[in-house]
Amino acid sequence: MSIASAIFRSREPEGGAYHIAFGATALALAATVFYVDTYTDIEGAIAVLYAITVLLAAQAITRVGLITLSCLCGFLSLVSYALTHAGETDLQAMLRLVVALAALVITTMLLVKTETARLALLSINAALRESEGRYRSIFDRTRVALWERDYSKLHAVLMGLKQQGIVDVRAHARAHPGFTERCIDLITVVASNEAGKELLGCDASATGTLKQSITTASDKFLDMLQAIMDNRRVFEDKVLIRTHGGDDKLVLLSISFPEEPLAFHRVIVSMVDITQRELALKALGEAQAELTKASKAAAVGVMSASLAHELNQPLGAIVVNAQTLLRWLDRDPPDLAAARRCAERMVRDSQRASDIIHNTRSLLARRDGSTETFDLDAFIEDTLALLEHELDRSGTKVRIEREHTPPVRAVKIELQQVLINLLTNAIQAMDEAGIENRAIIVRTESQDAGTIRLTIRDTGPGIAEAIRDKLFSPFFTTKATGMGIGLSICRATLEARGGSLTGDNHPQGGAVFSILMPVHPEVERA
Amino acid sequence: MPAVPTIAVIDDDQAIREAMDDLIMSFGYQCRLFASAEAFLTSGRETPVDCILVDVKMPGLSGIELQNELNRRGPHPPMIFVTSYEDERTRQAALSGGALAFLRKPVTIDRLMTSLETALGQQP
Repeated sequence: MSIASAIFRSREPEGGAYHIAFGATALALAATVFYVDTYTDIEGAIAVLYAITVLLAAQAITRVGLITLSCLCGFLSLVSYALTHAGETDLQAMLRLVVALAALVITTMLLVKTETARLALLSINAALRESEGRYRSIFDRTRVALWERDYSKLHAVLMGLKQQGIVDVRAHARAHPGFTERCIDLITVVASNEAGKELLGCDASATGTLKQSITTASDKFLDMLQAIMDNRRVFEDKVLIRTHGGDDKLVLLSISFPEEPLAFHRVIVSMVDITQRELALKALGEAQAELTKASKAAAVGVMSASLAHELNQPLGAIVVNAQTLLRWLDRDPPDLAAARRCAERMVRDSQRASDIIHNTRSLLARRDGSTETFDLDAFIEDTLALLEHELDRSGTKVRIEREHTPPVRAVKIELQQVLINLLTNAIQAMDEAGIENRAIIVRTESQDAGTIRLTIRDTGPGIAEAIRDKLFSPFFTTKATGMGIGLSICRATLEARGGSLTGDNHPQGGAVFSILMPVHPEVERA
Repeated sequence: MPAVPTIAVIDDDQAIREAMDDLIMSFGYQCRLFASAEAFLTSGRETPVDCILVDVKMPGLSGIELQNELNRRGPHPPMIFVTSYEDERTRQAALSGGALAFLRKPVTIDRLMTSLETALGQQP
């Protein structure tokens, strides 16, 4: 068994009959050659035909078998020579023997080399099959929704456009209605795993499914086309897709594009359903907003009550004094000295009322916080991150235009609250006006050596002329649920640190709020 | 009954005390001013007062607590309450404790004068 397995190839797809046929033919040929070589008078390099024996047998035997067989053939040649030419020195016969043996050796060597290469190929193929199997099993069993899609036609079209000098897919799509749909049609789904079918609610390779799933996200689809055109290797984004059942789901879409254009016929697309996560985040955000609003309302309530009480005292005194004053004047003759005393008390009490209001205002703006030096760019990034959810929800894009500005020295939390307030106002203004293209441009620049200007511009309806003067007045609001203290506190906060806040309309539309901040703020003036 | 009736004004706010002082003077009465209920209680009876005009809400003893204390001690001059807050419970507490009137701040001159006259007319 072990000798047989060493000599004969195993597990050949063609099977044993094939081996036996070749082996038998080879043996028959070897026997025939030996017979002709030994027992007939045919003079010639008959032994060369042993090479054909080896060639035939090579189809069925291993390397060890080949070497064994060629040794056997060589031995037979020598036996034939010994039997036919024993004792004589026939140079021609000896040459024929040498030629035959050389042919045998060369043939065997070549065959052994071929066999070695064949075995290497076999093992590579096996490894490849194993790898494909592993990939297939991962593809099928993972909980991540996966698709193999054929992007080759789309890739070709996009590369064609690029050669024509088109670089902006979005602009091209605007100029050519139906472009997006045509591009979607160019993509075919090769395969989808179970999770993918589950996510979209049906077999994703069904016609029209892809189109339907993308309808809600044509914007992101154009981004993806741009990624292909720019030869980016990866496209990743949160995308709202529509399932077969008509539900919208938010997924994290990730596509890895191959380097080779040829490989675009099998692009892996993955989606992870993050709808629940986003809903939870949204609920959390809303709860936080509610809480902030509620605590703000509570704070304002407490403050109003104490303000009312504080103000009631001097106002009450003023009313009594005024009535008394009238009484002194009504006397005959009027008691002017007493009337004067009343009036003086009224002046004093009015002043007190005014002081209370002033103190309350500075109380609102005062925060406990120490100044620190920080980089404005990173600060803006951090603040935007806090509002990420709100920005995403409202579909507001933020552009940052930065000039190199020196680090600022300020109370971070104060400035952050001001910035959040202004950004939230911008988002809400654009929301309420139902603006199509919502964008906020945050710009930093050096006003002069000692002052930094930070502007927040939106693409909303701008500030109505009628309310421009009242914009920063306490308790003035245009919002249904607004408290009207946001902007007035923002301004007071900045002014307390030697800065300023102004609001205006941008010549190109939208409102723009400018914060001026001293690089080195004076000591607190509040 | 003295020739010029004396009214005690108890209020924690100085501006109110001064204004009331002058107003009551214009009625032809005289005033004694106290910044708290405690100050009134410790003032003794050197100068007897004919009527007490008291703020409801004060630091320390409130107007109602002062009324309770005076009621405990025995007969006392009639009390008129003034308050910034419309509070029915406090009002009921004051009136059931024997208060003559419960006036809202800022006081209107006519109501105050009527109440004072009623109070002084009740004096034995």
